[in-house]
Amino acid sequence: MNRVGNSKIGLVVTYAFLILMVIVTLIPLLYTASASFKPNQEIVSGGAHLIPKNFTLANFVTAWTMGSSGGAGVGRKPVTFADYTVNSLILASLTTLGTITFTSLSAYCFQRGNFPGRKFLYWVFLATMFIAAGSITIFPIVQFMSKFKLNNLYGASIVQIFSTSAANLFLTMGYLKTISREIDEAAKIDGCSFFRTYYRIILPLSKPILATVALISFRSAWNDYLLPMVFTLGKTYQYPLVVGVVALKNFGGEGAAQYNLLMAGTMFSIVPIIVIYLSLNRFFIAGMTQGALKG
Amino acid sequence: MSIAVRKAKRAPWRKLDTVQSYAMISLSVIGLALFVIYPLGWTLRWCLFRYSGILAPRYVGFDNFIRIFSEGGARYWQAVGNTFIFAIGKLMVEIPLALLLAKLLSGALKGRSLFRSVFFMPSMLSVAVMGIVFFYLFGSYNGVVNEWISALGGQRIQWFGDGTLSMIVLMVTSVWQNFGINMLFFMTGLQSIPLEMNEAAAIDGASSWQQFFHITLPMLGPVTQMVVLNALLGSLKVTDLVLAMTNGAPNGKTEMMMSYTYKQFFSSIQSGTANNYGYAAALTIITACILGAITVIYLRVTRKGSELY
Repeated sequence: MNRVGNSKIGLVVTYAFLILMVIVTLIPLLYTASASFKPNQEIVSGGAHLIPKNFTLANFVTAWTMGSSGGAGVGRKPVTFADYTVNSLILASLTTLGTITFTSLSAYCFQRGNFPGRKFLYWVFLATMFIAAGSITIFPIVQFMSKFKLNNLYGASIVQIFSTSAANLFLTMGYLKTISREIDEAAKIDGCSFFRTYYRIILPLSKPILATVALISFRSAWNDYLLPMVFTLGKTYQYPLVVGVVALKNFGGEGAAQYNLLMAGTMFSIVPIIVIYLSLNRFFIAGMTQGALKG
Repeated sequence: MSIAVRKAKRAPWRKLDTVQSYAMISLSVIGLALFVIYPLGWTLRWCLFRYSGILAPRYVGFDNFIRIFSEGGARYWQAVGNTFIFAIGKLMVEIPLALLLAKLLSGALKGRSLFRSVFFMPSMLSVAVMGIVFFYLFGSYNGVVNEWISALGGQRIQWFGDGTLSMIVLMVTSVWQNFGINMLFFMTGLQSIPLEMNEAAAIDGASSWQQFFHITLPMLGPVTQMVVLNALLGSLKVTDLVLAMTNGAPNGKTEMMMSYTYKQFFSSIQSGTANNYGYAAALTIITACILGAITVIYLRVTRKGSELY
């Protein structure tokens, strides 16, 4: 079948290359973890050693309870990485909840509905999702939202929900297609309305795909930078983690940066995602490839 | 017959159902109108104005576009050039690497799913945060990469003092983050190629490399087209990575077309100069046109290419 795979030398070369790539993939993360346990002195004085000479947990404690000097407000208790983490959780949870609700409703209407204008609406949905230009149309959006005092974390979440990618819709519609129509026909004959069929039958049946959509949207909301940054501009106490970490880096610059706090903050932002990914990676992999390939 | 039975069984679509459908989809439609269609309309309108947000907006016709295509737009075109160098440079490494790994992992290799999970992990992490991690790794004084270089007897390099070197660091970061997802796309594509074709070729005496270039690659055509287009558009839209890592430094040599356009909208915050939202809106339209044109040209060229086979 595969001759390179069959010959012994080929197999050794293959494994050597794969292991090299594993090292390349993991090294940036290992160094981040390592630096987050080193005192700033040890980071600044250099050295490529992975195991800290003066192992410390102080970076995490400082970042979590006292925050960075860049985040302190006047007359207000300093903004800490604990605040950033709570903000990230609020942002990502609201966005996830909104995304699964609206994705599931629209997927059901487009896949099972028979109302006038369905095809036209579907076409409008797809067209607009593809022309959404992202970061360069952010200004009119934030200007508009500030009229309703929504230029904050909650406003960012609303925008994230409605600028969701077409991939989520495709993914959910593809799954609904596999649920037999006989089921909703039977429900209808028993007197269920369109919405009742959705709520009682289709929604419970589509739980697996909604879990996948939830994972994908939680991850992207948690990782997002530009949108929450613009929406929380000047309100350090509303920063999510990613925005807080970048602000800390820009405050320090390259010279006198608090690398220890920067790396501890980075750990707060990446470790939850790595843990979720490692425990549920099958869903991520299936979801992200299927949605994009159908698109 | 079975169709007739099904037709007879199909329950009628009622008026109540229509009302409910509209109610169920209404919020999504409103959201789309507010957050996708409204900003587009806003951009199309204000690109024809001089609009600072302080003085009354003044209609100027195509002046903003003329400014882009004259000397005033030099910085923008520099950013466009940078964006293409970045995108093409990183894709020349990223796509072949992704394809190679997909090919290696598509057989019955032991530990296959473990490798796959590890390679895909960087794609899960925040682009902005990884920009900062790589900024630290390539730091001038205490960066890990410089420590390796000096341990090997080389000179420490000021990675972020030079435009070309900064660009290389940006490319390395982006390749590190994206090869995994492209590898997954290629693996899905490889699964759809029937094994019999390779077996038949092997019986006819084709080597693995011959099989790869004459069977696998042509069969992968449509998948490759999708992967490359997806990766190309994603790279041309790079924003967060640049803002977090170099912010255009040194001297605009790593500024990208999206990050430059974004900064024109928020320039009063960034640098204290007066805004011209009209000019920024015109830049948005030009940027969107560039992305659209690239998509069309790419699809045309690759279709021509596939007709040759």
